[in-house]
Amino acid sequence: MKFSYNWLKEYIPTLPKPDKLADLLNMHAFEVESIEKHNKDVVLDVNILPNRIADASGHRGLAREISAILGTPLKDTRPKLKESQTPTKDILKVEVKTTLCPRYTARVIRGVKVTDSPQWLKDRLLACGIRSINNIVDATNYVMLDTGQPLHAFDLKKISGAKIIVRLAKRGEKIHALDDTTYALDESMIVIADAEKALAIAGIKGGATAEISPTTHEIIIEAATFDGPTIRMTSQKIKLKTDASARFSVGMDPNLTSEAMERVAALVVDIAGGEVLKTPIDVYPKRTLPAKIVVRTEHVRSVLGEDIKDAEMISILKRLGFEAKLARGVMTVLVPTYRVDVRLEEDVIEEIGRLYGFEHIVAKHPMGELVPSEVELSHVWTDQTKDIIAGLGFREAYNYSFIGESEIAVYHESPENYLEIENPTRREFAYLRRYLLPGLLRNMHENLKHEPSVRMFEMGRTYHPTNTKDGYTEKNNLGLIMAERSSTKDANLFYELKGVLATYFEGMGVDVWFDEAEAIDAHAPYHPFRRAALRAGDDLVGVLGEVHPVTREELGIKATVVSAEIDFDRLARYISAEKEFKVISKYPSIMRDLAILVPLETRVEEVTDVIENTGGELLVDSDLFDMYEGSELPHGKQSLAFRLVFQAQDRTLKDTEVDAIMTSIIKTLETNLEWETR
Amino acid sequence: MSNFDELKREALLAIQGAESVVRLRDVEVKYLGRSGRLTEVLRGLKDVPENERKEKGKEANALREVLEREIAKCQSQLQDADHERKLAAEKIDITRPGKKHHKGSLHPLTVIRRDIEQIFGTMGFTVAEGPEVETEFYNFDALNIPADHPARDMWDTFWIKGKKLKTEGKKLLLRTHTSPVQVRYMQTHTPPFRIIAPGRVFRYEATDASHEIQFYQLEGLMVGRDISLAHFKQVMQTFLGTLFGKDMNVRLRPSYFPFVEPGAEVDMSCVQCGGRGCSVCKQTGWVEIAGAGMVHPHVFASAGLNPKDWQGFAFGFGIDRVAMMKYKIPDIRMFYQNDVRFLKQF
Repeated sequence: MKFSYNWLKEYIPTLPKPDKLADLLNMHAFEVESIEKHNKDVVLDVNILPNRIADASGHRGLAREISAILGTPLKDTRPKLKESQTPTKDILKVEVKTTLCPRYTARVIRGVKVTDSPQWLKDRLLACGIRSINNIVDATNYVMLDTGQPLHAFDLKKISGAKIIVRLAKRGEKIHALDDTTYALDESMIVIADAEKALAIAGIKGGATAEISPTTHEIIIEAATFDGPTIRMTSQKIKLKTDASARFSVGMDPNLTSEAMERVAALVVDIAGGEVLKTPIDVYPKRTLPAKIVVRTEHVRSVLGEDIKDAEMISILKRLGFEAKLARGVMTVLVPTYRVDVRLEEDVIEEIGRLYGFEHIVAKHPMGELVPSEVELSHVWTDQTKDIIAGLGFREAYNYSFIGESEIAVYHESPENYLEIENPTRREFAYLRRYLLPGLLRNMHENLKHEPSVRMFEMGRTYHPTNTKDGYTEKNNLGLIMAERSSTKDANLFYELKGVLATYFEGMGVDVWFDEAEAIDAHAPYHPFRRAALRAGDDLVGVLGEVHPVTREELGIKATVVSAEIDFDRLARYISAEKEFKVISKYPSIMRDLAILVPLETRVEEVTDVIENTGGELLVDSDLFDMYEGSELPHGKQSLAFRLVFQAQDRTLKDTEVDAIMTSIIKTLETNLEWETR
Repeated sequence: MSNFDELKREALLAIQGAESVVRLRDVEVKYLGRSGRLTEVLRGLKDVPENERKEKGKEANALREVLEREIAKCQSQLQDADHERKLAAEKIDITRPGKKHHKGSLHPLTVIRRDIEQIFGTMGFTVAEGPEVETEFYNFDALNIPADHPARDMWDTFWIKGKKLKTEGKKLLLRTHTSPVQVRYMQTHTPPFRIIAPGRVFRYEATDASHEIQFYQLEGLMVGRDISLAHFKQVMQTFLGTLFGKDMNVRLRPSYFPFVEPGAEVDMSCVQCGGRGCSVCKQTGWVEIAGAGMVHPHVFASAGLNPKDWQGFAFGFGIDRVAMMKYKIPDIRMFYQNDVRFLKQF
């Protein structure tokens, strides 16, 4: 909100220089966002937050705040208003038909001359960012900028039946407003109406019907208070924010209307002439009284952590215009009604704290029990996972939680399976991700433009609609992706990532095996013959696979890409924090190599299964160390070479024992007639 | 006598002259071999008269020992030299590049979050987490921001669509701050406690170098019988000083957040200039870092704690912003673009 320095100075003749003033406000009340020269004036842009709009959105209010900070009195002159003999109530009737208007004050001024405003007035308005309209409208705006109370002027002659009715709008009621826009209203909104139709959207915008024009001679000035939440909701519904609605939304002090009314009437007479009718109409059924708050001075010291003396507290509150009586460490505080934000003991503590100066509060170490902080295991495992995977050569990415429809299509899923944003910033960000892959693929596409080889991973939340009470669940996923620009069509990358995962699972001490992948949506973006399901216990914990050529080509990625996505929360159920030492055999081990010729379509697992099942407990390790297919071999065959390690816990094995096991393994392998050991 | 001296001189000369292990072997054979010169002398002893034989034999054996020792010594020297030559032939060019391995890295936001967690961890703060998709209740109502309150406009919110997804009559949204974790934690724990809650938050707004629709925030909460604003000041000062590795001053300015009272903006001394004033801090010497205050009684009440029994401070700051300051990153959007050339610098 913009404030004129010269205007403030009228209230406080000893006002500090603008820079100094800004410092004072920053440290004790409001943030000053800018200080700018404006002709012979200086304009301060002060950020008045919603809790203080009611009392500090006008120059008088801000000056009052400054005077409290400085401890200098406000120079305040009451306007001198001369009333005519005709009572207002003989000319105008007001009926308030809703409790959402706690106070309605109106005056009639007759014989005004609508013209341009004097230059000083135009300048003041302009400094505060308001365009001059005519002297009547300008006067209402000026007094709003002064007192904070929004005002409105109607042309009396254009009001049917010389009667103002404050009521709820009717369903389907429309109003053509001063901004030349027609607004559709409903029964939740308040209007100012005459006997026939709405004249204004209460607290937001006047209507065109009773607009002040050059031919206007008799005016009604309205100073009213409306229910804050109602004005806020109306303003949101009709998508119209005005200086008035911004103020009324926070709930203004009803006691402010009479004062603003006196000021505006005096100003109108001053710049537009006319006679002010006697005694304003004032519908104010339930008077707002100062709030009474009990404040324990010891509690003030305890919350602020600063030894502020009782007397100093009282003095601060008095500067703020609060009444405070102290008895046995308890202050009874009466809060002026314009301070709508001060309702609780804590609110008073804040007042004392900020005027005392937060900067004067001395930092102190908290004293208390030395309680070790709790450590969440899932948190530890997340960090451990990141360390292992980064250690294996992957760079960590942070992608957006948002995705678009085209990315959902990759999963052959319907957008209905996704949480949708009601107000997305753009179409590509209309849904919340269920998988990390779409983001990682996007990163891959960008990075392959300048990197020959890219390996990335991400750990982040994914969001899933469910039929539970909450309607959704969040899961922590782990995604890995790798690609090489020069990669050929072979499946080496798949095995490389499989190896990375195996190392990771071993590092976490979790038993995960690679299984045939089922045709499910989550597996859709992967190559149907180059994908594997990751299983732990009875759970499907993830998928590993080459990204489907169609998927990556659609994204414009030419290189082969492999990726894995793991439901980390599910995987974590199988991670154990407990580790137990297993005795290392002190007897030597015996190593034997075994080569076997098998058909190309034979899977390695089939062979290892036979070896391990036949080897018995003395076979402690079996490793595939070489795979070969080539012209020297019979057509359609591949050679697998295993290294078998035998060891006993209780004795040194004899060669003859191992020979016997080897013979038995070979015999069992060769029961498959297509398999031939060499 | 003289023929032994002669033999000795000649043999030693031959040993010293051998320039390789093979030559030395030849010398050894020549003198000590089966038909070597000394062997022959020894063999000829049987023809020497009895009285001289003992003496001569003694001399011959002494000479043999001398020669054997010399040969062994020379052999070891020659072997060492041989070895040296072989190793020298294996000399490599150590300026050639090493074998490339893929180097991974942690995201700067992970690195800074860990740093922050560690510092607060040493001060006894526990890390807590909460959901990113929140209910209107936890994100607003429980934090003293009712639906009809203008303070709601201080947070531009992403709402989740859908009638079915209503929890207790409240709409779902993307949390606009980590403050809901305060309420969730207080509902399930009994004070005294101190927690931090780092996490992703969302704001519906136009993006630019310092604004993103998603970013990371860190919430802090310390509740006890007598926790004060002065304590907050100290905790913040200790934290910032440790994070930036230098003495940091903290300044509080009045502000308004509905879930704290009193509420404050937190400024820290400018990392760039140390408070003297520079372009980063717009010549003020201070940089705005966090929002903070004393937990509002209504927040205690909505979390099921009696505000008469407990008091404490809460604060929140943007992790992205801290990372930008610490690593001098000019644009917040870089965190979510995942350009490898950016990521590999951390």
